[in-house]
Amino acid sequence: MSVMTVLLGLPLEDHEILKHWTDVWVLPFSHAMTPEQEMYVAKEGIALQQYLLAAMDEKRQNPKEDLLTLLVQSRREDGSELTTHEMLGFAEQAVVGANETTQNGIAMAMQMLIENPGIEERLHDEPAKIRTFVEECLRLQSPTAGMYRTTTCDVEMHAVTIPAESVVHLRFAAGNRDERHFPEPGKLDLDRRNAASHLAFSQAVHHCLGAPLARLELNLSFQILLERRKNFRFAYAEENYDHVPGLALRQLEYLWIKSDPAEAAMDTNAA
Amino acid sequence: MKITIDPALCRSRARCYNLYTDLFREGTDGKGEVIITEDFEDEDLVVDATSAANACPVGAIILEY
Ligand code: HEM
Repeated sequence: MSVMTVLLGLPLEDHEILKHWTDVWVLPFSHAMTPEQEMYVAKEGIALQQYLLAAMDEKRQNPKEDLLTLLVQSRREDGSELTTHEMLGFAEQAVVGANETTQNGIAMAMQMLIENPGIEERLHDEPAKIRTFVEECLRLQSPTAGMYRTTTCDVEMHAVTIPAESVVHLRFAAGNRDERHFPEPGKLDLDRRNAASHLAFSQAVHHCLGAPLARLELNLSFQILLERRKNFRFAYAEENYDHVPGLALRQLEYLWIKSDPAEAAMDTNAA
Repeated sequence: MKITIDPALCRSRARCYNLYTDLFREGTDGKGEVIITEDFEDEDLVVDATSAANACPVGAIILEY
């Protein structure tokens, strides 16, 4: 969240309120809501929009080198401006898209590191494999497990015709375990050559705008974690993590872990 | 580091050769083509190759090191 706050050009001290707004924003993705809760989500959503509108106005007055300035200055190919609605959509997507997914991606990758014997040792020996590790975790955990589309025409798949104007749920997480593309799909394989060709960031026009940033954040997190700590393990005998119930997003409610300082890190501390 | 593009995965999205012209150029059918096919160690190139692989929407850029 702090990374995105800075990139957008928002004050870093706002990152906690932004985190709060985006946490609330995704609540309807996973929870059945009472009318009161729906009101609450809507009100907080409007507060986020007003915050972003004010920030965009500020960038129009005082342009800076950041994403929000780029957004308010951007023009279509014919030279026309984006509508306020479009700009707001982008800003909201960037704030919300950057938060839960990346955070859960890191947490669920840590869970995979602990649950798959031998992986941590290999990553300590061969840090270059962290890339494949990250892609395999994105593939197997798919923080955005599925999204909705509306068909614009009849679509035939596997001898079933889906009529036009149907709402379909694209299940990225299921495609990511298709054994025709990923042999032994359930296995976290540090030597999988096509590991990055998963659907965790969707495909085509809606392919995640933040994918390069998310990959960078995940790779750096594990490079640094593995440099400084070792023997990652669960903290308790059982119930070390649980998922937030939900269809679209795959999120961890909590994850309890322990680790020890790596020797190299202790040396630097002493120096 | 060594870069390869898996031609079976490449969908001609053009990000690699539009963004990282030191490493990639446009090949047939708009597919990406690696310019430096042998191993290299230059740090700037390693950073560019990593960014290119992170940006590829279909995961077609394979890095070995
Ligand atoms: C591990 C982390 C992330 C995952 C798994 C993820 C996943 C996704 C997926 C699956 C979509 C496509 C939704 C659809 O098909 O309808 C998407 C779209 C998007 N993501 Fe991400 N994302 C992540 C991180 C980020 C970050 C860090 C940003 C911000 C820089 C971001 C910004 C966006 C935006 C703006 C879109 C909308 C693109 C469009 O519809 O044109 N995402 N993301």
